[in-house]
Amino acid sequence: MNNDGKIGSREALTLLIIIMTGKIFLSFPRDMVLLGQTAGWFLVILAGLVSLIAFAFLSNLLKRFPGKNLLQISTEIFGMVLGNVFNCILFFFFLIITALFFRQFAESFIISILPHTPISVISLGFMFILVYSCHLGIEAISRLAQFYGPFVLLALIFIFGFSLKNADFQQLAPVFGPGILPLLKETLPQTSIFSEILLLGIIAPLIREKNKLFKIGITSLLISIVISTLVTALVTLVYNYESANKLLFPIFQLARLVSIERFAQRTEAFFVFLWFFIAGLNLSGLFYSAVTRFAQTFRIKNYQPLIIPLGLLVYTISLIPSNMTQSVDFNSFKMNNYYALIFLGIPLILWLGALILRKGIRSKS
Amino acid sequence: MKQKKNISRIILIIIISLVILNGCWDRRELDNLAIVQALGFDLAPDQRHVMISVMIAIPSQISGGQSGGGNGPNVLVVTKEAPSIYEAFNVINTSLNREITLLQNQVIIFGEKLAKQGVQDWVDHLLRYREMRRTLLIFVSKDPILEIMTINPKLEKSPAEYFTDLARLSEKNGMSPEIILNQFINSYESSVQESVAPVIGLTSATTAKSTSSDSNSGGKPEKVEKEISTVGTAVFKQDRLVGYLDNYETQTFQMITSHFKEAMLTTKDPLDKNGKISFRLSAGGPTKIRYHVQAGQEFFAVTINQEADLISIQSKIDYTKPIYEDRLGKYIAAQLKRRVEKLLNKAQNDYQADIFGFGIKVRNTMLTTTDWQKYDWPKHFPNAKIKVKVNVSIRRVGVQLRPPDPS
Repeated sequence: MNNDGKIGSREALTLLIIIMTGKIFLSFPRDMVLLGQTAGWFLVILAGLVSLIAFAFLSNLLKRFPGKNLLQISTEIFGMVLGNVFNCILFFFFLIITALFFRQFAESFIISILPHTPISVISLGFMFILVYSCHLGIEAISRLAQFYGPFVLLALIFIFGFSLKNADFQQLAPVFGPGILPLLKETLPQTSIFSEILLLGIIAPLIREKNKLFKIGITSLLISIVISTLVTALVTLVYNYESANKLLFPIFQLARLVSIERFAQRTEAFFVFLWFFIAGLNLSGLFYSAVTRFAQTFRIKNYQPLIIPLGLLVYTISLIPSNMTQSVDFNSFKMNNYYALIFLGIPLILWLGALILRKGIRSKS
Repeated sequence: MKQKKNISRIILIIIISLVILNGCWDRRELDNLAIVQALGFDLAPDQRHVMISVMIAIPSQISGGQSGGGNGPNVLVVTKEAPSIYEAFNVINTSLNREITLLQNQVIIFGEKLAKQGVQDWVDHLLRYREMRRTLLIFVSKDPILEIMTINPKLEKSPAEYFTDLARLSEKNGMSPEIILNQFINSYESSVQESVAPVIGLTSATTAKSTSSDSNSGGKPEKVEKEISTVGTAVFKQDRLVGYLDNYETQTFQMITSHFKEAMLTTKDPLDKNGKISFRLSAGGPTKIRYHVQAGQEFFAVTINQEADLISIQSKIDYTKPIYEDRLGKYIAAQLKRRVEKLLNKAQNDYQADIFGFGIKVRNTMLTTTDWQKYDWPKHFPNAKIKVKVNVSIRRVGVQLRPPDPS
């Protein structure tokens, strides 16, 4: 931990947003349309609302234990053993999420721009970025995030603006999609969309302005909800729900549709650059979390020697799914239940524990 | 010590970059590519394979500025028979020295035979392969694709550009729709609307000495024996081609779907049997479609608003007078209404295909997707009652007020 400096609130905000919304470039919009049909965008909002509740517990915890991260909080409440169990769960969460997104990003590059390049080479390139950025620490990652944030937003606005030409708002009918009950049933598992906000619980002690923690969390969560909702809605508007649920990377397809008469076509080439940066930042943030979770579980002061072995582990896990579809399916429809469980469960249990065992500073007294 | 470490790091980075960055897997040299500009496919005579025709740009012909085109064709057209499009590329590459690439392709042409049999088996070909883009223009060809592709347009150097220009122009005057692959697929996959595609065919240009009646081909040189022209719209029901709309029906179709922009039209003079009136019709706002259900019967009310600018009046009647103006407007509206009703009748009874998107209005009233799927709109469409109202207002009269008077 010694070579980790401090993070500004803006940097933390953009990093959290990029980590939560990075998946919109993968199969996320398609998954939402598949589950929620024409009401896929509404499903995102529902999941977002539940996430806000989970976030309320998380931020309350961080307030009760100022200057501490989730591991320190959990050991303080439940003692060494149980605290480490929570930490281990978080470690596996971040490890698997990194590995699966790692594979998906690598595959998406093969499909979109480098069809003949072997996956191992692209993965190695990515791994190089992960190892290097993790070596530099969260400070560098979040600075970079803040630097690229506006560009990414600009690119998104660009794609949005030019896609609106192809959009038809009547594609959102029937308004309730598969019906209200199926939507509600899918809400809890889909809170996994925003489960990466747990990163806030890890970087909390490193953020300079301690009083702004709640503000950072809630702003990043709200912005991520808005972006995810708009993306899902736009994909439904441009491709109707019957077509959209068959696409692999809807945003990439949206970018390919952009054409301004004859002089500006094939804009996706320029968009792929930003995609690459997002992938790098997103994966670096997740990988950093996984590495530091491991280091802290075993009370290792300096996490840097762990980077390469854990990088190898991520690389290996990422190659377990035998193909692209398996990896998408695994991440979006199987593991997401566990992600949601961790996201909703850990803050809730810790908060209840703190409340019952009377640990931490009681708020407003 | 530290310096040594740094040097070894730099060497390591260089070695890694050497391995990763040489890009030898996806390197494609422009000199080794055969750039396909248009792709056509039709059923082979044995009905099981496809005939693939590709129009490949000949770089030396297209880029050479001062050569003036000469007699040599600018494109190479190759036709091969194969079980699938991409396999055909392999077959073509056994005789062609450059690798076929679809990255610059702009046009897809379906043969009539294949379209009539159903495009279902071939649609996935167009979507899954990464070199295919959803911005491709789609055409259905009434005549053999090979013949269409080998015709050399005189005004353009690149025949593919000719197709795209033709589509754009026809969309502008409503003679033929401009449909990209994405639109085609969207209506193919949903049940709110049936797909349409523009039709191209060969017309002989020798007989027509570019008289004013032949306005749709846009005045091309007369020496050409045959020329490509957009001849209307192909109507699909699900995945099958069921019929055609001619140029003027297409214009009406574009009016109903609010895609109509403007067109020059001629009508009989309502007050003088011998005279004719020409006018420029332009859309006066999007078409309004209202939908309601009464006792299980679907009712639609279609309101089309058009504006007309007078271009020429043959009789001496002064239509710039408000009374006559109003009368002329109503006369044109009545004629348009007849056309619209005729077309709706054709779609409902002959083709039973909702190409207009009335289904969208029905879907808007549904609450859930299961309701909508159970409803089965394509079955209901032929029985729907559609009321048409056309408003035409004469806005401008050109730069002349009263017609010239011979003395």
